[in-house]
Amino acid sequence: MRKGVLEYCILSLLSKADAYASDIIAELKSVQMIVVEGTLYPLLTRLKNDELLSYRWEESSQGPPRKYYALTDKGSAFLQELDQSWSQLVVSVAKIQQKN
Amino acid sequence: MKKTISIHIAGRAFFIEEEAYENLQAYQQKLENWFRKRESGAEIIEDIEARMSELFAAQTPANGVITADKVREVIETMGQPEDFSEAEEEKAGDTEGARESTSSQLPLRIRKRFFRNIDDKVFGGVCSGLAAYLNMNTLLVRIIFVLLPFFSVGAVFPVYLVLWLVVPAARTTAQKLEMRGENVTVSNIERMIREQYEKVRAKF
Repeated sequence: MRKGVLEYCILSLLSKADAYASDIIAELKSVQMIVVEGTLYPLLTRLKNDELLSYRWEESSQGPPRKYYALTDKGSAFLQELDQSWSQLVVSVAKIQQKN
Repeated sequence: MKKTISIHIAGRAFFIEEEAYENLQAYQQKLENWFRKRESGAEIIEDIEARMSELFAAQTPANGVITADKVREVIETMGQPEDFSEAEEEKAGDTEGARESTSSQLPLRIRKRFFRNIDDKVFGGVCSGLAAYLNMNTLLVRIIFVLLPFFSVGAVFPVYLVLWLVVPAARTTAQKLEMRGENVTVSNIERMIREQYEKVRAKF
């Protein structure tokens, strides 16, 4: 469950701007979505293998080149679907909470 | 006074205390064991290393030395592989995760390979290698090879030559064990070396 939400967060983040792994980590940490950083890498690789993300190498002023991730077309389409099911989910949960 | 080692992590050079280096290596080995069999494992390890390198660079001053505390801190930040991969696998289904974890505990499956046995050869060791592969008597395989042309299977000559060229010779101890279909484990390699030692000693 949490994993699915985490994926959703990553895709949402990348829909706003391309980012490299450490940017994504900083964002997710600031909202307490991840505890250990290692969680992110298998996820990113899997999303990339599923062709939802792509990456490119970009030179950095400090240190070696960085892997910048970007949303693919397939990724954006998938994200739109997720957006919809997320809002639906929120509405459903809210309704149930109100009943109690 | 502490000894330091100079290392490279993902394209950056560092000095690291010896103890810290050992801890770091142990962690890396753990990652390696964990991800080796998983899809895109090498890539994930590479990404994690790049991140660790970045963390070290950000937290140690120029020409500074990475201490054991720093290594502990960075490892804590990254987390243990079982922490972050476990959650990953619940998605793939519990049964699959369970199967994978039991299989990784078992010793590696014995994989037999066809090597030329150059320790016991007439020409290229093809027959004795084939005998080891098929669990047959070496002499029997040789007799079959010699007799085949008489039963109008003359093709056996070129076949032998091609096998000689194509099949690798079992040179290392690990290859010799693989040829016999034995597990490449430290104890087996040790046993093999002892046997060879005994053989050489018997000659003198």
